[in-house]
This record gives sequence, C-alpha cells and structure tokens, in this order.
Amino acid sequence: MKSINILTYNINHNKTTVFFDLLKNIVQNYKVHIIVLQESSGIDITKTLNNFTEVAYLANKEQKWVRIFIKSKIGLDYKNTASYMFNKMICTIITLNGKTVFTLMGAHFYSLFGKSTTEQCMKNYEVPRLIQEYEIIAKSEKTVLVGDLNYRMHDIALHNHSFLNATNSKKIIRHFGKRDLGRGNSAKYFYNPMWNILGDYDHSTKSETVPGSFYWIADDAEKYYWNLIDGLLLRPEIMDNVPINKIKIITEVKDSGTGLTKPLLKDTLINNKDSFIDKTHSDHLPIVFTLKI
Amino acid sequence: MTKIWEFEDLEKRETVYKVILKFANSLRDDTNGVIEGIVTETTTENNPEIVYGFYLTVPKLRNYSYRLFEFRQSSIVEPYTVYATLYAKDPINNQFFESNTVPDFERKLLGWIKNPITKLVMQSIKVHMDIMDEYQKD
Repeated sequence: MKSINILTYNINHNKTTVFFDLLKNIVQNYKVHIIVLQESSGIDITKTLNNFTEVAYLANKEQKWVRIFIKSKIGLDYKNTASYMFNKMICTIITLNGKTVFTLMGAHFYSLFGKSTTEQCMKNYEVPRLIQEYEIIAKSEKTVLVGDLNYRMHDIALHNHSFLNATNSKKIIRHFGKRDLGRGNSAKYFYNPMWNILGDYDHSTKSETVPGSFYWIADDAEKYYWNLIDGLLLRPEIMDNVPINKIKIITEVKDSGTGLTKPLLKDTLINNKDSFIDKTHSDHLPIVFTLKI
Repeated sequence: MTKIWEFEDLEKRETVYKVILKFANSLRDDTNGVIEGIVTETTTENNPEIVYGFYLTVPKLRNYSYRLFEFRQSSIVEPYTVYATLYAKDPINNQFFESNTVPDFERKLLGWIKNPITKLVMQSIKVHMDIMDEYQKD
C-alpha cells in the first residue's frame, strides 16, 4: 500500500517570492504528492512547483479558481478531468501506474463572506448533484473532496441530507449505509474526518494547537473567531484510507535552506481587529493529510 | 375484451434522452474521433427533476470532459418542459432555452450545436490538443 500526501491551501492570491519559497518548503517538509490550491488563479507557479504537473482544464487562466498539481515521475497521473461551477470545483481521476485509484474533487465553494446563509446555500445548491454527475463519469464512488469548502463541520448545510450529508461517525455509515429520508428515499453519506481535529488540544502532541484554518473577527453572534472550513470529506468507499492522525493543520514550516522554522501564526495581536494568522502568507492555514492507496 | 390497464407511450417519455443521445453519438464520426459525446443522467433527492449533462470528451487529452449542455426535464412522468443551458467558457455568455415539444427541442438543440459558442469551445479543445501534441514532440 502506498501513502499519498495531499495538501490543500487557499493561498489568497499571494504571488510574492517569499510565499513561493514558503510553499516550496511546505511541499518538502510534508513530502506532498498532490496539491490542491484555491485563490491561485492567474499566478505563474510552475517554477516553484517545477517537479509537479498541473491538471489541465479548459478555462481562462484568470478564472482557474481551483488548481491541482500532481508530483511528476512517481507513477501518479490523472485523467477525465472536468470543471464545474465556473471552475470552483475541479474533478479528476487519479491513477497510479496506469491504474485508477481514487477520484479527487478540488473545491472552493462559495463563502459566507458578504452573503446570508441562505444566499450561500443558493450559490452552492448544485454541488451534490454535480458530485453525483462526476461519479457517474468516473464510474467510481471512491471520492475525496478537498479544499476550501467554506462550511464548518457543524454547519447545518454540510450535515443536511439535501447538501453534502456529511456525518462524523463511520459507525453510522457502516450501520445504515445511506441516510434514510423516508418514503423510499435515501441519501449517500460523506464521512467528515475534520471533526477529529476540531478543538485546541492536540492529543498526539499533548499540547495546545490551533482550532481552525481560518480566522476572522467574531463581530456577530453566529460567528466564531476560528473556523475549520478547509479540509476534506470522504465517501464511505474510501473513508478508511485516511489515517485520522495524519490530518494536520500546518502552523509552522521549516526552511530547507537555513533550517529555521517559520510560524504561520502570530503569538499576539497588534489590535483586536488583527488576525492570529500571519497574513504575509495567506488568510488561511494549509492542511495536509495522507491517503493510503 | 378491452384492456383496462395500459402503458404510457414510452416513445414520448424517452424522447428527450434519445434526442440528446443521438447528437452525442454523432460527435465521434463528425470529428474523426477527436471528440466524443457522453451524457449523464442524475436526479436530486426529493425532486422529480431529471438532469442530463452533455459532455465533450477528448480521448487524446486524457479524456478531458467539457460540460457543454445541461438539460433539466421536469419529471419522469412528463418530459416537457425541458430547460436547457449552454455553458460557454465565460459564464456571462451562457445561453438558455425552454422547449415544450420534440421537434422544437431538436431544432433548438441543433441551433446550439451550430452556435459560435459551441464552435469556439471545440476550437479551444483542438488548439489545446495541438499544443499538447507539439509539447510531446519536444
């Protein structure tokens, strides 16, 4: 069995040399094989990721909201790529030595920013059917949905059977198979492993950690400062292939040249409107996980 | 004895799908195998609507699939009205039509196949393929 490390990162349109170096170090530090970037449209990143192949799809360079890169010359490849929602969801089949191994869906769903919850739902309403449509093309339901999903795992939309029907329990999925909706209808589950890293205590290191991948000012009763809106969802067919202890929010990166460690978080705030995320890299933190195939 | 129970006219019920499939199947021959057509059929939970996705698939580009048309059929029982969308590369150029009869649906769909947007998408695929061919020669 082979381990594939997958990185998801909303890079907030950062195209500075400093950031490119940081990204290169993340890829090296975490031995990344597949990268799913959001907010990277129009950025020439080929020099930084020169040992990666970009998954090609037909769209204007400036409108490639989600981009996927696969490490070259290690047997990994892709096929049957399709883009949806004006390139906010890119689907492709990942192959290893010519054999289909899983379906990767890189996503950056519409956010809550400047919208009501209802508006966000209306913008994203097609997602479940498009996933279903691509699974028909892929002839497989070994689907890994990765990216800036713009939903926290406890958001009703993510849990709702009409949307992603994502649950936090493998046991529920194993027992029920599908979610019974009554009157003969049922909905296929996603397993949401991100519940396991919610909270600010890391059981593996027995220390305090970051409780989210995105920080904003909680100036409204419905808002949280820290939000775990980036991550992954897994179809039941592949939910046991991601070790939970291998899902990590990256908070620091070691420079391969100098050996120095650069934190992606700040210890203190300049003022209360400041962010704990060091925005010189992005307003999101990257997430890495391992998929056993 | 006169039958009491009768089937609905299946010919009518399947027409939408048949028309779409007819155009999809002609793609391979018309483009000398460069582009193929595939049609997906999906439904939504708690919704009688059926959605057909029409893709241009390019075998030489790792089966890259461009979602060109979408057709929404109101329900299994009553195929018409069909609501159709033509997806351009730029969302502002997307086009829409509604159709209530088979001949009208077929005529409008043929119009879209001859539409400059469709031709532009096909041309972009061809250009991309030529670039890949050139790149692979190096």
